[in-house]
Amino acid sequence: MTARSIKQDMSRIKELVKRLADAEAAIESLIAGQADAIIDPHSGALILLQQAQQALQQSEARYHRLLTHLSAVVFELDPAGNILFVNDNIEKLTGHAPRDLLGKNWWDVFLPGKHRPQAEELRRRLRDGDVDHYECYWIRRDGSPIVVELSSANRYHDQTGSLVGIVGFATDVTARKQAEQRLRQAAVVYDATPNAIIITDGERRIRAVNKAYTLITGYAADEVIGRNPGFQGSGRHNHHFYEELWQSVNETGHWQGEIWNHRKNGEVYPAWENISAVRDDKGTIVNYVSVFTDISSIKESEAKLDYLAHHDALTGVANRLLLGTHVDALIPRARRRSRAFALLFLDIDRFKTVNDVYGHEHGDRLLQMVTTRVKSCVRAEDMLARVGGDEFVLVLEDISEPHDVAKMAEKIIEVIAQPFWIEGREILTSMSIGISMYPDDGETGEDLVRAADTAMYSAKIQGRNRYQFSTVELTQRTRAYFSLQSSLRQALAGNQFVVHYQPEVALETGQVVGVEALVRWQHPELGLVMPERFIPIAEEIGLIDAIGEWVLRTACREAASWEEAVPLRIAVNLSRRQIAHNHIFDQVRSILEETGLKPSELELEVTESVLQDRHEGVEALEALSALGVRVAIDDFGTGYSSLAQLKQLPIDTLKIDQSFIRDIPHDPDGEAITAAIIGMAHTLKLRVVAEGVERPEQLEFLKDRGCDDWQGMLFSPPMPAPALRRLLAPATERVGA
Amino acid sequence: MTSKVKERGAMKKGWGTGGKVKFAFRLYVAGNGPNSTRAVRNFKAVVNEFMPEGCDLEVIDILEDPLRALSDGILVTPTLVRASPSALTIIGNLSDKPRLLMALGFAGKT
Repeated sequence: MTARSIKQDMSRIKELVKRLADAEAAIESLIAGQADAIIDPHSGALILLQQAQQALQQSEARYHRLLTHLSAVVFELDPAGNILFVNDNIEKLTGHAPRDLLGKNWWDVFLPGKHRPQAEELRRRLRDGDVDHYECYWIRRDGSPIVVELSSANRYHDQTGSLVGIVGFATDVTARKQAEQRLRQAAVVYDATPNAIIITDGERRIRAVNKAYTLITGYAADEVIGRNPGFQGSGRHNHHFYEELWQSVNETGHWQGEIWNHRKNGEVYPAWENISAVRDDKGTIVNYVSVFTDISSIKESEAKLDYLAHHDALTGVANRLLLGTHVDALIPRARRRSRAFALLFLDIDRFKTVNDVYGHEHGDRLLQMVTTRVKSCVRAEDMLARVGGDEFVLVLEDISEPHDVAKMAEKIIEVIAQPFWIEGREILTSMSIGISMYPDDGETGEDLVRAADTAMYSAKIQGRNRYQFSTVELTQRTRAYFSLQSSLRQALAGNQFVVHYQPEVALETGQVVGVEALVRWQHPELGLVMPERFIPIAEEIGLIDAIGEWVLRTACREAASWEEAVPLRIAVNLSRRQIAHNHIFDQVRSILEETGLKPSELELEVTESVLQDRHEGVEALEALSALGVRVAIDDFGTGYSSLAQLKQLPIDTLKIDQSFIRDIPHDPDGEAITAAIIGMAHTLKLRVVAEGVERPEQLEFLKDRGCDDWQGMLFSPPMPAPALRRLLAPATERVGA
Repeated sequence: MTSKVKERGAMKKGWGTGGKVKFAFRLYVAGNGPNSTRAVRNFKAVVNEFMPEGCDLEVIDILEDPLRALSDGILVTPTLVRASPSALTIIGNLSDKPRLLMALGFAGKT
């Protein structure tokens, strides 16, 4: 034994002693309960004592809580892939309970059969190293796949460096994948859609626009980002429109409708727009999304379709549909304004023959030419519609008299009767027309068309080339009108006019002081025709001047013949038209000369309206007045003459309109007006004559108010000259009436 | 969780010692085990009281680093090992203060 070996032995002994002492102290502390853990010096294993164990259990419980509450799946596998641990989340995710999984092979459970390659791929990766954010899929218990992200899968080794296991951490990203997919799809849609898309923030500042937006509006994204979309407005909508729009978006989350915007080039276009509000989870609006399409082309084709739908392609006039709409709109308007309108049903006579003989092309051409001719007869506001092969309907608005419609019908019949020239051929045709009138012949468009159609057939039956009213009475009345018109032309030459005289009586004395000359037409068949019936016709056909002159001459001549017996003033009515004639002065003067009547014996009656404004006629009256002819205002009280005007005019007499007298004594207004006129006339030193006196009470009233003269049935109706002569002879015996 | 703490900050010159005395300890513990926690608390009280110039202390958690305990020949925890000025091993939760002070050579100084 060498010294060195002894020294070595000594140090080993010391070491052993120290170890023994340590062991003793360790045992002592164990016995005293002062130790937490024992370490096996051979294996390195830790033996945790109870208290420490508790601490560890607490810590384990904490880990367990963490693992359970983690939304992720945490698992531990042995190197072969057998499941050592898996947390509860696996059940929610895959449908497998953790206790059923323990000990099973991970790959067999989650990637069985045909999914092997995926398992192999993952195992290969794990062989190569740890896995970080690896996306893969697992098969659930029900066979459906889920997409998971393996956030981490870490291998761990023992002290010797050999692989002990794998700890993995995985999350279900199916929802996220779907959301990503949707986002990708949305992004594609956003760029590929032909709809413009605007996205604004909650303050309506544009944040993004898509490509279609630029295509439609002409504005590039960087020209509009940050702006309020209101700048696109066209000015076609008022602020109420936009207020309602935004109110709807903010309250209901949506608005949808047609809106007119402008493009960058200034062009205004219609858009169909959807606006939606996007809210965050607190309910605050964070975005507005507007999607719109340019519908200008749709609008154009709509307008074209609308035209095609409402017009006849061959002739370009309205079709039955548009006619219906037009009449339906016309009826309430006519009813409101108490106006009549006429509906004419036009049918080309023997059109079928034209088609058969000359062919359809000629027929079509004829229809076009007929349309043109009919249109040339009517006013722009009258609607012409083609409602059948050779059938047309014409609507004439604001018609007051049936004979105006009849005139239009005659005009059309006349133009259609003129020969048509089609490709060198002369085609002769005619037209039959049926006429219905609103409201007499129907309250609806349908009724009116039917009535006119029936009338048209009756015109055909009567021999075509004529018109027929729906009601026989109207047809007769119109025929009577035209027959009256034609016989009126003969009346003057045939000496059929007569003058009747109605006496004017002085209230105070009861003596006849004058007569009013009134024209009558002694018709050979109809008997005595009143002026109300034939004067409008005479005016229309230009006979009024001649009749007026005849009456004036006749009245003056007769009056001159009585003058020798009884001096009587003769009152003759002059129409506005007669006075407006510039030779009225010469005419009156020459008649006076011719008949020898004193100017002061002639009184010319004019209506207030004649004197309303100054014209040559008024000057003529002044000149006649200067000659001594008297001037009376007829129907006084119905016009608007002012006192000032009356003072300046050459007037001698006021004749109170009979409408005021008629109401006496029942109407206080009539009495008041009559009294006022009498008072005013006397102030102006004018004679006052009351017309239309029929009752003694009226006469009494006029007497009380100091009226000068009166005329009316109470004394005598208008009468022929011989009767008047007989009346005047014993005149002095009739004092007081 | 291995941590090196310097109690009481910087070292100071002591009277009559003629130089610095450097104290270095390692305390082996088992996590937050009750004896381990107590040992840490007890030892820090002694440092405060008897080592005015502080000491180097390394606390070794054997749950975290079991191999270190094994290689250092530690048998149980808590175990306090003085590496300097001279090697010394004290096993237990260090609650027997007189024995502890005696072992560390601070006995009779109070």
